[in-house]
Amino acid sequence: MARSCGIRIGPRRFELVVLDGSPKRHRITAFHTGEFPRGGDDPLAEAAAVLKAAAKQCNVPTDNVAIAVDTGLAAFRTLKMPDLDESKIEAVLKFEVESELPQWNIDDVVIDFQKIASGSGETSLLVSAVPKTDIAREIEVATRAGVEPLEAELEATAMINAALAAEICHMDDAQVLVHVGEVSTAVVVMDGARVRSMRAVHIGALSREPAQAAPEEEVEGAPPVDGELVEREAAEERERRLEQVSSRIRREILRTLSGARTANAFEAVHVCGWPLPGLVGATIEGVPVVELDVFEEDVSDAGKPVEGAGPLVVAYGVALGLLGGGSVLGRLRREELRYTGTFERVELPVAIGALLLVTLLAVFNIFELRQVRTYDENVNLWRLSTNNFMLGDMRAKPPAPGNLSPVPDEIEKYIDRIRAENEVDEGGQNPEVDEIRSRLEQMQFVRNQLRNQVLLLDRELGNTGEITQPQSALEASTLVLAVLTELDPADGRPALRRIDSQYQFARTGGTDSVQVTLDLTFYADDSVTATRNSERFTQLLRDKPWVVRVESRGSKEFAEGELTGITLDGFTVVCDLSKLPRNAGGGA
Amino acid sequence: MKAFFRNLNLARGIVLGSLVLSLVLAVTGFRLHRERVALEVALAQEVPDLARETQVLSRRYSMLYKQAELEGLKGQSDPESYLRGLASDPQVRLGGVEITKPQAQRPSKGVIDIKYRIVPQTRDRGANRKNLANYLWLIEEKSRRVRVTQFSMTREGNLKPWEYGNDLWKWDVEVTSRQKESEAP
Repeated sequence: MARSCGIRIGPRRFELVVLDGSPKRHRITAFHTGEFPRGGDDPLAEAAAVLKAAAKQCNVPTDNVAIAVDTGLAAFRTLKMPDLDESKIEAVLKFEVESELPQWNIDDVVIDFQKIASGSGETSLLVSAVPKTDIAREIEVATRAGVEPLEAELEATAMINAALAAEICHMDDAQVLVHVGEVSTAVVVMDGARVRSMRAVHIGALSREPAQAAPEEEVEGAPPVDGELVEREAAEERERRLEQVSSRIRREILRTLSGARTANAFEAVHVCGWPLPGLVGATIEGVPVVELDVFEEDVSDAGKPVEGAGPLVVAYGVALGLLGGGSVLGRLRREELRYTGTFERVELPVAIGALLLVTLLAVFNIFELRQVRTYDENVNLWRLSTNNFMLGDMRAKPPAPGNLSPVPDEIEKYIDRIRAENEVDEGGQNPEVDEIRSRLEQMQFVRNQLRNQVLLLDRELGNTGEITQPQSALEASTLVLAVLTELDPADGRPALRRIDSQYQFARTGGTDSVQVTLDLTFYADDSVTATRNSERFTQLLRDKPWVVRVESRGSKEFAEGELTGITLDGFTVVCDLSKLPRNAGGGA
Repeated sequence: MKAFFRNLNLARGIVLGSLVLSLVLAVTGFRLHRERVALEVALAQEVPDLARETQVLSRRYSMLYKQAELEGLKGQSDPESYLRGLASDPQVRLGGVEITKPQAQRPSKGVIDIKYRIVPQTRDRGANRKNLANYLWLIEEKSRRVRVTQFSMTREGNLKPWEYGNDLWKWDVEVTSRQKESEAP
């Protein structure tokens, strides 16, 4: 069951009520009224000490305390605003009400508001403003007493909550709620169970109390003062002053009743707080004045405060508000306690959320770790497979020789080292774990070593491609002579008398080439056939993609006995072997 | 914060402890997650490629190693011996050859061509065409670092153009080894 404590801290007195239960069903487990000491050096500390003692006596739940402060500290204004939600009202309220409070700097006051009516796109707000310094003083007293309040509100709002919880205010009537404090009186008009207006009358039960006289020193020779007589005179004086206050408050109530514009007729004036003579039981403007009795009839363990219950109404209303009861929220610590107060209320859900977060993260870690291990094992399978391919698997049946022959020293040393660093497991397998490399890095290391070795061999063998070897004069001349075999033997036969093949480095903008110069003899039945054969040879050469040009200086006929034909001297073929189509094996 | 520690209770202790633990777990989880994603991505592409590349490289290494073992001209250490040795190959039998002092040319920046001219010791005697062809072929076959860049063959004897010869040829050859200038001896 939730416990809460409401404390009314007035200028001279305080009351506290401890509730246990829910907003609907609760009981008063403790209550206390007390008076703050006067005239000390440090009134704040002395007040805190008194309050601390009371809190200890009542076993106050220190984590769920709220206070009510004197309504006389506040100024009330009615303000009309467009129909906005609360967060937007909060954002603009200070600016809207600033011009209504010329007596204070707007930054020095706490602004609270209650919606009193809304409709036609407008909202009427009852705005209360309390200087921060005044609230801070009351909070300081409570804090020093070890009962730091989660919230602070005005006596008036606490009284309204108490009255609403006790179902004193109904939908079909109106009431005036009055709380008589030490130096001010809160007057609230309720209409149809809703707040219509609220104001503070700056006169209270002790407003007209005579100042405390300093104890007079006994004057030698003076006649002794009769103590009983003095006390009786003082009591009469207090009674007379209380009657004056009562009379003044009755007039204020009369003014309130006369000026109020309520939809429903006034049912009664309910009074709580300091008891004033002649107030309860009177009738003002035909409206009876009754005591505001918010406590249930059935007496709980601690018991309803049968006598003097009026002063406890406000503290009760505050405690009830903490339990979630009442519909009027007083939020005077809204600016300084918005976050700390909120955290205290939500720390348990936050703790549960934090535990859930830890659990979630732990589960996430476990899953990720398992996945990492699985993937790492898969990488290791690739590594083993690659190693078996390279080095062979002597345990296989039949043993599989490796494809890396011979194994380069760097790789052999590395594999020997990691095998030596690990022990063979039960399955006869060496895990080959490298302390400084992951499985993937092991594969990359071996690959890089192999790359280096291949590069070294490529360099040694001139395969790097950085330098292109010159075109081969042998290859070019072989290609040219091979064209001779494509000629038709029926047209005669060619004979080679001289061949000169010369590689030519590319000139600017050109490409490398090989110039092949031939001295040829074409034998045939007659010179015409031989010429045709040579032309055919020239044409076949020109059709080759690797032939750049063919130059012939002309031919000479010859007829020596049975031999006829033509001779070609200085027959030149320029070849570019880069245009020679080559197959994968590199041959023509 | 001060008030938080002053009013420390079980709930706040749990919140505090959980936050610290969460931070540690979040960092660990993030690292594990990153590692897992990296492995997942690597397994999809990098690891199979790596294995394939390693296998190709190991085969290539073995092949190159064999080639290097058979390479006749290693590092241009003694090209004259290489060329003379080939001239006395059983398939060549050209007899003694003269190899002129290597000449260096710079066809382009950073590249140097070292040229060797080979001529028979007895220039008036021709060589068999088949043997000569074998010699030229072996020069290029036995080493990837040299090319025959010039050769000429002329029939032996003073023959008329229509006369048949005896298939003996006077010859001379130029062999070039192209290198980076920094590697040149």
